[in-house]
Amino acid sequence: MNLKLFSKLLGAFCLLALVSCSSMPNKTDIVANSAYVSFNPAFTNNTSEKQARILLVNTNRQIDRYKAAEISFTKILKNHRIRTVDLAHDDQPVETLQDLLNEEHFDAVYCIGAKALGSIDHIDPDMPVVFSSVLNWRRFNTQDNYNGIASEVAPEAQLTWFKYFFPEIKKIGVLYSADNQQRLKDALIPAKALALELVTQEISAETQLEIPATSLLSKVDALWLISDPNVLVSTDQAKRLFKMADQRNIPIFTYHSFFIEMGATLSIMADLPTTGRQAALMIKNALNQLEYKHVLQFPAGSSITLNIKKVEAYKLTLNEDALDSVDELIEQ
Amino acid sequence: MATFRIRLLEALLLFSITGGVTHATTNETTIIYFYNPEINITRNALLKNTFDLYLEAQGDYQFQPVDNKATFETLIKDKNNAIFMMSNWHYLQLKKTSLLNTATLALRGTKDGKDTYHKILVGKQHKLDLQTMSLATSGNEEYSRSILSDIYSQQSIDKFSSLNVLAVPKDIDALMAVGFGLADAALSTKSSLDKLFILYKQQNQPLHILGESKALKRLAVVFKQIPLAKHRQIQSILQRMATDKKGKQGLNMLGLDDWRLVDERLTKNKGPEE
Repeated sequence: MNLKLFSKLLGAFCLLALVSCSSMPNKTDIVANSAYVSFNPAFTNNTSEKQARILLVNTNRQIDRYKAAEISFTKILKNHRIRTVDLAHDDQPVETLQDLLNEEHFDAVYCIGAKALGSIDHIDPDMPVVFSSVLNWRRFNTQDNYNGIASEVAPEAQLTWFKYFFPEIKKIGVLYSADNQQRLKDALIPAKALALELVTQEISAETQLEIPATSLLSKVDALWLISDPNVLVSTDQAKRLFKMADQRNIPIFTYHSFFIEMGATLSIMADLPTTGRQAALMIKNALNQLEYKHVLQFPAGSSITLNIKKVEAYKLTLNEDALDSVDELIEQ
Repeated sequence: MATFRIRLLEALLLFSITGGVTHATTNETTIIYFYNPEINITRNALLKNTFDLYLEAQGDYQFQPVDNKATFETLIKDKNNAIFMMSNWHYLQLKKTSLLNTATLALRGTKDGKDTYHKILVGKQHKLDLQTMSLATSGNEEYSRSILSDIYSQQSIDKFSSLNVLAVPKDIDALMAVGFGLADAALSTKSSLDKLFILYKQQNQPLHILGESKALKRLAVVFKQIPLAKHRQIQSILQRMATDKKGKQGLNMLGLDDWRLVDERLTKNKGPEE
């Protein structure tokens, strides 16, 4: 893996840290609108609606995936007034946003990325907040006025795609730490339904990865790399893991396409334009209801990268029909 | 001087004619334009790359996906000596206009030997409120509404006016959106539901087919003002895709596994091939 890739990984973890560690003001005055009306996912419709004022806070518009979400969001809500703020070069984003919210009335906020949501969370406005592209989205799961789209495709959907592309894969290994214990437990049921066996190996930050990884790789047909900072503690560790798997002809399936550069065979990511559409529809639904309850959805769209070179090198049986679902094909 | 001027003019004229002739006979790049409202446009770069790798080995050909319907129709109007790949839904719309007057339907995509497929409406509940239901679909909104009108041919088109549409990239995404409760219904193909059924029985079991479209023709390939010799050459190149590794990959990306020759004259008396 090159320096560029490492910086991407570091960037992702820094963003995660930014939201997790920043000191937040007390939220004792949060107005929890009666949270008893279920919040169904909203969708576009042609009925005439009152024009709303929406504040769109983008962590960095220069980042393609953030821009893609912004474009599809604004397209769906083209009949509403949307004010967009780019925090890319803003060293005092909380102040910027507080000034904006004092100057103008908004009906809802859409935050793209961790910096945007972290900054809005400091202010804690009394209005629906919808977010996407936030790695540690689970942290915001408890606030009634926060709705969002998870950053990764649902684990059961990822498993479905794995099986669709590689029908002969039976045993999938997963390295995980205590943080992901529940998620893996939840994934066991859909795995069973897909006739997949999840072979799991718990590790901690202190664990030397080589020993458990060697043991795991000897038992499985593929390795599922999940977002777990204790597994991916450093670039060198990730590199060693990819090398070990490659030496044993074990394909690695991942949640992000940047691992393709390291040698992953398949990645299943959220399709960001779809995420933007989901966010727009959530806002429409929130605006149409007097009372609302927070809802978190998994992304409805997938973006799939397949490394065909690895498929050939490992002599994997690829379902050729699945090629009509590939977004990016790596052949070199 | 006057004679000189006339000779100069003649020379220029001759130059321009021969230049024109040379231009016409030089191997110009033949472009295959592609637009399909049933396929997500984010995959256009991948389609171009795969098709170009196959076509470049065959001669001076290029594949050019187009992002939107209006641009595609302008290209049909303005470009001669070009090929247009489009959904049958779009083809039938254009047949009603003058845009395809000088064009011929030459090939039709097939899958497992069939050039038709069915769209189905899938939901978890047996009954849906058509006016308020949320619909996940991989096609664009205009196309999806048209398919729904076909499925519910007894209903007025107004019935779908307030339909809630969520566009997703793939058929299987649409089905999983229903499976995970993100939408009430999905517009998909029968084959995608079958694939999911084979893969994931537990998730698929609660999904019911609520309606089915009539048989829809697969992708249409239209040649516009292509000279006969070249016409045959291109037909042959496209037909060889099924036996070439890269060509097969391109076909799979379109959800096809082969092309079938179409003789439009045979269907002339019956109107446009449907």
